Formats: sequence, C-alpha cells, structure tokens
Amino acid sequence: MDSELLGTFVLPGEKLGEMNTNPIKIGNGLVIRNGSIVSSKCGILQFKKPDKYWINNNQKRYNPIVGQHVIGFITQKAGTNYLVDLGTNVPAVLSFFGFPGATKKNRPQLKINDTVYARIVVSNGTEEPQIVCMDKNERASGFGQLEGGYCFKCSLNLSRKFLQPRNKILSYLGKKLKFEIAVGVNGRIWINSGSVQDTILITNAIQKTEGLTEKPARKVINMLFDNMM
Amino acid sequence: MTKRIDNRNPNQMRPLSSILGENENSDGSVIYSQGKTKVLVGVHGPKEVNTFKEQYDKATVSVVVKTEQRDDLRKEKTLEKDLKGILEYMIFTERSPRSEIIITAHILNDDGSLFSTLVNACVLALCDAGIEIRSLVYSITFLITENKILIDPIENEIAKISNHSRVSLVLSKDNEDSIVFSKCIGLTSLEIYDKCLEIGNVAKLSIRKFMKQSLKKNQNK
Repeated sequence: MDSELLGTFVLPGEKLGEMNTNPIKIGNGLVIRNGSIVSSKCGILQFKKPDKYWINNNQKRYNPIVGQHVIGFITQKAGTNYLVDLGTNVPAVLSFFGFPGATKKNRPQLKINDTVYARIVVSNGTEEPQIVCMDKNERASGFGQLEGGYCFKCSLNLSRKFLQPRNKILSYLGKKLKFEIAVGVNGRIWINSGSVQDTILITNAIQKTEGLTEKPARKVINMLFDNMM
Repeated sequence: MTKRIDNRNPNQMRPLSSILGENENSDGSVIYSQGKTKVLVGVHGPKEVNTFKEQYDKATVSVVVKTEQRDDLRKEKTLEKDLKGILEYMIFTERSPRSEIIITAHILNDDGSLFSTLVNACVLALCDAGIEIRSLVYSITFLITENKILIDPIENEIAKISNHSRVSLVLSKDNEDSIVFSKCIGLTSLEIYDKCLEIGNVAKLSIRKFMKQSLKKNQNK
C-alpha cells in the first residue's frame, strides 16, 4: 500500500497499492481488482495500526455491517417477524425471538411505526439484513423500543461523531437541558426531552453545528438559545 | 490562433462550476455548469427495486432526463439511453445486487455541449452520494468545421456554422487512455477523429482536476 497517499484525498478508480505477502484489512471504499487495491469512493485514505485501511467519506445512505447499532422503524408484521426500515436497500428482519426473554407464548408488543434501537446480526450482500433488540448475552441493555421522542435523519459522519465518548456538543447541551438521546449509525438520531421546545432546540443544535469546531458551535447554540427565550 | 465568438481559443473549455449536496431529498446531488449550460443531477440509491427490474447479481441503473420545456421527448429518451450505458460502466454495480440506483437529471439551461455537461455532472453527483465507482469518466464535445476543431462549443457557434459535424467523447483514465463512449453527428474523417482524441486526452486532465477540487472542498463540510 502506497504510504505517500495516506491522509490525502483520493478519487475513485485510483490504484493505491499492490497485493503482496503482508496481510492487510481493507474497509470502506476500497476494493481489490486484478491483484491491486483500488479506491471505489472519494475521500481521505486512513490507516489504523496494525493493518486496517479504509476511505473516510461522508454519505447519507447506510450500508449494513454486522455488529453496528441502528435505529429502525417498524413497517410490517410478517409471520413471526417484524420488517424494519433502516434506510438501506431492503427492509431488515427483526424476529419475535430477537428480544430478551422471548418465547412462543411471550411475544413482543410492538406496532407499526414504532421506533426500535437494535443491533445487526446478519448482513451479507445477498439476503435481507437481520437485527435483534438485545446484546450478545441476551440482555436488553438499552436496545428495544424507543418510546415517545422525535427521530430525525442526518449524514453518517454526523451520527458517528455523536457516538464518540466525549462529544463536546452533547456535553454543552447537557449542562443546560435535560434530555435522552439515541444515535444509530444508519444516520438517525432520536431525542426525548421534557418539552417540545427543548426537543426542537436540541434538533436544531445538532443539525446546524455539523462540521463546525467547538467555538463556532457554541456560538450557534447560544444563538439558538437566545432566539428561543 | 483566431479567437472564437466568446473570445476563447480553439482548445479552451468554458469555465466549470459546481455546487454539491444542495438537494436534501437525494443521497447525492450537484448543480453543474460549463459556461452557461447548466444541469441539476440528483442520485438516489442503492434502494429497493421492483421485481421486474431486479437483477440478482448487480444493481439496476435507471436514468431520467428532463429538459426545460419538455417538448422533445425523443431527445430526452436518447440522452437517457446513452447515459445509462455510460453509468453502467462507471458504477460498481456488483457491490449492491438486487437494488436500484436512480439518477435524475434536470436540464436548467442548454447552451451547447449538453451531453458532456450531463455526463460530467452525473460523475460528480455519484461521487457525492458515496456510490461505489469503478473509474471516473470525463466527457468533451468538439465542433468540427472545414479546417478547425473547436472544443466545448456553445449554441451560437453551432448555429452560425452551416456545414459542421460534432463529436462527443467520453474518456476514462484507467490503465491507459481509453474511450468509454463516442458519438458523432455528421461526417468526420479518421484523422480529425484522432486529433479530437488527442486534444480530449489532454482536456480530461483539467476536468479531473476540477472534479477533485470540488469534491475535496465538499468533503470538509
């Protein structure tokens, strides 16, 4: 892999390196063609030790990957499954048994248009992705139905930023308001707070501060607060 | 070199401009113009597809082209068919089987070289949407009169010259310089066609540079 190109902006179709004996892992935006590694999306080439390469790009449409946490809307009941819309190619399948403590007699009580927070367990290119509302030890731990609140769409980069441990915008908002938030990597954010006004404020704060650094973001949030009062 | 109607040299393209990602409904979009020819292209996908269009091993590409006045449907259909072929080459359709990628192009103003503008705009919109691409393509149109080859013609030039022909080339920069698509309207000799190819292979580098600049600036948003 060409080390000069790391951290630079690449266009799709650029040859980035040859396949040789060193095993490496290639991720988002990289494919292998004719024995060489070629980029298939435009973005910045990244590297994480010891052997992971991928292209950092921003897009709105989500490609399901096993293990990621997503927010979905229930669109249909089919047999013993729910069909859940994740914003992907095809709707995902959420089995009735994908809930903690579920048995044939003990079924989940979800309805159409409910919001769920789930984890992807199966996703290959050929069949529908499958999700469950529990963690590996079959406990709820935050998965399941998200009751009330308001859900909106954003770009994938923004949702990944809000999943980082010490997000500055969330901590700033948390000092002033009380709210509950759920972030899905499929570009959806769910917010629940005491009043409608607070929810609107938080939604605007998140959407308007995309791509800003800390100081300009605080300015924007303060402006939103002043306009609300 | 004699100057053209709009003061350009024969080998000079019009100024290019693009605004990426303005359309919130689509996954990727661009408002792209070459001089005064302006198009808006939006990309949706990969998304769910009807069973009759579904392909088990690759994505289906659908193109919709709409002109300003909607008076020449034949022109729209021809553009759709040509674009579909080029985009099927460009998009890595094997990466998302059983899905559909819909590209919608609205022609906001037609001032010559419409086909090339549409192709270049589709490339930018697809990159903005994050759809996987095999290799980028670049399109240039030439106007050929008795003794001159003019790159990127405008409507005024085409209208004033009675006996002319046009060549539209879509080129890619894969391993070697290769032609993806070529369309000739009117008679052209092989030597002149080769000359167009030569000029095109140089011009595509400046189009590529422009695309890289626009996409890089958009990335930092």
